[in-house]
Amino acid sequence: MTKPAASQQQANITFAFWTTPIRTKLTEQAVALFEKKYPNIHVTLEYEPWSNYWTKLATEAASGTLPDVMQMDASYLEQYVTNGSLLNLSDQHVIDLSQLSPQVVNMGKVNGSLYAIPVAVNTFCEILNPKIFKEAGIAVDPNKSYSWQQWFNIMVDVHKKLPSVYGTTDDVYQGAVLAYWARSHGQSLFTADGKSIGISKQVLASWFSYWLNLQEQGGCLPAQQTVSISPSAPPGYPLIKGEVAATYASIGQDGEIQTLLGSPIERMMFPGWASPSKPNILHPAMYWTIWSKTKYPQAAEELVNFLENNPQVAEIFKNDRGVIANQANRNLDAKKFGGLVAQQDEFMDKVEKVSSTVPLDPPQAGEIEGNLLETIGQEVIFKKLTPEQAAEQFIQQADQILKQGQ
Amino acid sequence: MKFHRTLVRHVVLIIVSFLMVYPVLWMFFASFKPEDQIFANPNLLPAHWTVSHYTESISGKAGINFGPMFLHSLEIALLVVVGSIFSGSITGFAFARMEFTARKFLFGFMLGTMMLPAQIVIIPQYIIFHRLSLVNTFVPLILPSFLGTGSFFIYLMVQFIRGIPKDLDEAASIDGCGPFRLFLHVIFPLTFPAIITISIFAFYWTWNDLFSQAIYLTNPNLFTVPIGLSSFLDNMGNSMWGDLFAMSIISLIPVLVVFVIFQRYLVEGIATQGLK
Amino acid sequence: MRTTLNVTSSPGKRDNVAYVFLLPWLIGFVTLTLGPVLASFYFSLTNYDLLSAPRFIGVANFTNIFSDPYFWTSLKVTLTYVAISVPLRLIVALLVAALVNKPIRGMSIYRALIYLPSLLGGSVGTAIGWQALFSQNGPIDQALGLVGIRGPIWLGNPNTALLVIILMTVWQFGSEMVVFMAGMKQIPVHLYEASVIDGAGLWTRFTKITLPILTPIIFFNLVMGTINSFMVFTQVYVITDGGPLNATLVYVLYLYEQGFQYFHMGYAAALAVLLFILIAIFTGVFFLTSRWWVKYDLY
Repeated sequence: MTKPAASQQQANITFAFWTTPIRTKLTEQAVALFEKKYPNIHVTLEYEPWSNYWTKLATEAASGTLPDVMQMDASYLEQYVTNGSLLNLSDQHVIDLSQLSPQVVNMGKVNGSLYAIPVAVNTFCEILNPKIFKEAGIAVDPNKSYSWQQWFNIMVDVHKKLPSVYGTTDDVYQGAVLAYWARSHGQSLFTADGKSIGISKQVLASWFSYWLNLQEQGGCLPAQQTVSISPSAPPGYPLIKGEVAATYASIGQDGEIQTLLGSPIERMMFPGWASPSKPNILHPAMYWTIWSKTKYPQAAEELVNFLENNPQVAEIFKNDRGVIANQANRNLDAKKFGGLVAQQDEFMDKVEKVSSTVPLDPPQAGEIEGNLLETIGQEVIFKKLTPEQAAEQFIQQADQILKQGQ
Repeated sequence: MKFHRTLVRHVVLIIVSFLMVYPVLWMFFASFKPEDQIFANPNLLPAHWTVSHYTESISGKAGINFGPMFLHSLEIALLVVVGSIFSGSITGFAFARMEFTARKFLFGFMLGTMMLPAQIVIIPQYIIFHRLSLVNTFVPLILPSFLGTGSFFIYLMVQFIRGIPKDLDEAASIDGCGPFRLFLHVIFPLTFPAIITISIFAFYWTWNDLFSQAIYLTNPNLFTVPIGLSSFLDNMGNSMWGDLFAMSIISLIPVLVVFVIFQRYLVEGIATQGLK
Repeated sequence: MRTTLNVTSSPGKRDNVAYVFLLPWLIGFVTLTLGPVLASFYFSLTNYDLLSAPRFIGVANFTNIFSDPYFWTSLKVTLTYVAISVPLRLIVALLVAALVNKPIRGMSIYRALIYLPSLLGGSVGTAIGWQALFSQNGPIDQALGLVGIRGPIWLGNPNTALLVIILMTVWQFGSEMVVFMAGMKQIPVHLYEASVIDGAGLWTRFTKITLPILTPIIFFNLVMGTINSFMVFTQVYVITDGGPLNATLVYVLYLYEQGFQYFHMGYAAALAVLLFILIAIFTGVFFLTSRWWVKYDLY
């Protein structure tokens, strides 16, 4: 393979990623392979757990020394683009995008330009505990597209048959599910330009009513139990403890939930997934991005290309970072490894078939879906606000937050 | 009658102690449970005992090597102890015993520095160390303690020194003792309990300090224990709970040892009481 | 103040000597502390998202703070927390220090057990263990059951969640206890011996000798305890994240969220400035009123 002479010079690049002990090892292996293939490029790894990563990255940005290659998350992408930290990759030639579906590539575009290469995809879903459904004598088909009302009834039924168990966790302040609900009704949580709330007051009030009623009839956890789930607890904690039959989680957390539960789980898309409004979306699990002021753009791009497309890397990583975006590698892995990898890949393929693409959330989405929705959602389930009042307050305060950000 | 009272007292003490250490007990037993039992099984004691969490994390099989992290934490903590004693005692002495212009003013500043949350001050501090190219070294974690940034320790020394009778000072200065010798030979030895206290606190605060260490240390070869512990958790579902608990238990041991050794000197009746 | 050296030389020379002792602290203060503190004050007047340069906006942050309901909530939560946990910790630490401060065999085990919670800080492991302690039908509920009380859902009930956090802080009274033990160690034994000869009982010795001599140390723990309590953060961060219904939204947690999660650094800095003022006021009041009860030079 002929390369321009410039890339033969020695390049030292830093590569930062948030990690777990396992991911560290896998990444070290992958990078070792890379350095063998490109002996003139030396990669220094920078890694810390998710909780420290963003503070660290922000501090580095403040002092003007970002890493050359950065693992990036959708919730921060737009901010880092806006303040000029990321290299525009629209015109680059090194990174091969042929194995990514156009839908996936679009997830890395901000204002029409490509700034981030999606590494893996992810989605949110319902995790079911088949054992509990069996015990309750309720037949549930994870492949069926239940309507929200049908699912409501099933959840209430679980509690009727097993009084010590509740149907599901209370997802009233899970932003991703609210966004899904909005799309189910042909709306969108944020307007396309990200400048205001796009969901109508009626639809939002119906959301709060849904969960309030569900709680009333035992279809989901009571308020006090919902709020006592600690931020440090594992995902799907109530499911693991046997308190609910279903919980909301992301692909990637499903493996951990299954391990901690000690018995097989099933994955199901949210109610109404087959509806023509295509409420399901693909979520980029993470991206590769490059620092706009890197001294070695060529080397950085080579690394990204290698990590993204090399089949050996895919075999090392498997689904550690999410379901692999590169379609060819995804199929290879599923065939070779089976088991959890195949299950996740299979589910993701199903989801991709019925998904739509939506613009990136505005940067204030975290604050709105986290803080604001959580506060108001809690007030609804503790009966301090009616669904209508809650809807009104949410829209008003969320719009304010969005306005302040401009 | 007396027997009943003692028995009741002991039962109450045991129940209270049990509740007090329960969170640690819970972690301890959880570290011996297989991963799928930790949360699913509500009982305190494991149904099946496993030591894999310990062997995995110590051997580095899980991807983290705790051995070097322990050494780094130890190195930093010990140096911080020395620095804190050094700067705490001389600064405390100056504030407690010496008169100088702007004394009250500077004392107020010294206390004032404690009143801003670390989370805010660390960004500009990081930039300073970054300009000095000292990021990714242990220097930002150790140097401040030698320069008296531990106002807690300074003030502790001030209060202790003020409790030392001044007739000692007067006796010493009549003997021709200048301030340096007064400090070194008279005051400093008499603040022994405070020094012990400083040692204990400086050690375990540094040992547990995740925030600063995570900000300043990027090179994984320099990682310390708190960083290592936090890396067992992942928001994407790859958390390793058993290993986390196992390593948390192990990292408790040095701090506990330090305490057990040092606390003997704080109990009345042991070790020498001042000198006259 | 009459506690100073009787150095019979000019004020200039006195100053020089003092400044030698102060040198390390002065260097640290000027280079490492003053700059960042002033920078933080400056940030409070800006719109700063860490990723681009700060933009001066005057006092806008402060006016926004005063109309921010979360600010008032966090203030209320924090003041409640401080008002309850500080005195509670002090009293418990003082009494227990007196109890375990005996060189009896086996006491060191109790001391270690008592101190153990303080060593745990705010780690995730502790948070989970703490949750297990307060879980439904966990040990606390069972212990309460022994005396016929039914435990609430401690961390799910807005009325009890803060209590759990307070309990956790009080649980970590080992630190204050150690300071008290150190203070008690300084008390000359002969004072106790003399009083015993005069027929003084345990309680009298405690109140007439120990307490008065300890007042400087009690004052220290009061001031330090208050300052640290205002900055409570880690426990809440890992156990409740401010919930439920923001019942445990302590000030520094709110500050951290604004600054580090939502990148409103200027706003967070403004919050820090207000906190600083609040703590300074409390501390000032403590110092002013200390002359009435804190005694130095008692022996």
